[in-house]
Amino acid sequence: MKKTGRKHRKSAIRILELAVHLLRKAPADLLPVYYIGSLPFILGLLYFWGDMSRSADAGEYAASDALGMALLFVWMKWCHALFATRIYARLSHKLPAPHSWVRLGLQVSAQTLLHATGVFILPLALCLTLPFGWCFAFYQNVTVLSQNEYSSVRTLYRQAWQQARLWPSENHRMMAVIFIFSLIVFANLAIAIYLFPQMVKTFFGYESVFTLSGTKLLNTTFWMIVSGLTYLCVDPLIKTAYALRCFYGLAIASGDDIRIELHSAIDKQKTMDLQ
Amino acid sequence: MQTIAHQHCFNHSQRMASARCPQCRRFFCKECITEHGGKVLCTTCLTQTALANPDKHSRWAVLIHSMQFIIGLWLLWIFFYYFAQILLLIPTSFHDGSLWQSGWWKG
Repeated sequence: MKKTGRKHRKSAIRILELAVHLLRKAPADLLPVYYIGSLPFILGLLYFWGDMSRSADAGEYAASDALGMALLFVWMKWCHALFATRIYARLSHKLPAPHSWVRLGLQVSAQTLLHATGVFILPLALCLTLPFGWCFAFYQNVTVLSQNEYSSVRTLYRQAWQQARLWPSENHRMMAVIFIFSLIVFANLAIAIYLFPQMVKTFFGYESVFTLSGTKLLNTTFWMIVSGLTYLCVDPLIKTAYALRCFYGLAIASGDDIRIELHSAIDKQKTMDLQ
Repeated sequence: MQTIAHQHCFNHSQRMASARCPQCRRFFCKECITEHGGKVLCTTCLTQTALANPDKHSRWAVLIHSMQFIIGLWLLWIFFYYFAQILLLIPTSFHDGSLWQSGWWKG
């Protein structure tokens, strides 16, 4: 099994290249699914952060705000699962399973329960450093593998963990590349947002509160906005990369990658014959 | 070591085997196997797998999945509630970025 796994292993750079290619070639209705889920959560988080850090009586309604954030998180994770399902369907050349209330209920309950543990486990794993790679891969796989019809929490957990343990060195390399890329995106966005009011002032002579405040612009809300935008830019790529990892991991048993290559070879041959 | 090249179908002895069921470990021809959940299973094992998951559409399943959702939501609420409490404890001068100008470390 180990030898088979090694033979089918795809390098981290190759996976990321394929992920970028897949996102670029994706139909126009794919990314909106992701952003319909993520944008409300990020905006909600910014409001929550700003309110809790500055409002004098925020403590009185912290409980109801926390419930709102929890619901927005559930909505975001469900949209992520839908996005990952479509990505996976494109990879495996299969149509996504038809929508049904049973499937929707199972997906939402499994995603809510497993991702709710993630908000505690991921920071803990990050503090311990070593298990973080496996834990991060596990929670990404939970989103990606939600496409299985009628998959229970136990099945989803088992499958996601099995895929998270596969090719650990490639997983860590991929995470390192994504981390460096995220830092670059973060720095770019921070500089762009900071300089934008200055540019407006230079070109149009418009003095705003941002140009007058100077370094006071660099408050925690500013860093939260930059972090949120970085997440919105990088996370679809992460989800696609893990969808690819799961696809190649599951293909060791199902042979889906060979089936697709064979079909595309037959299609090419047919096209050539027609010409 | 049993290799598939020399095996015959468990149901059709005259046919050559084309796959081995990972659950019952028996050999089968193309007609007797099917793909289910990323695995190639024989019809008997597939039926057993379906019977082993009776809670799919039952009332208990609805209850179990509702409980899972509620527990998940409760955990998330706890996380965000205590996150809010931490934010409330942090002084406003830290959020404004003016904490470093106040000279709090001088006492």
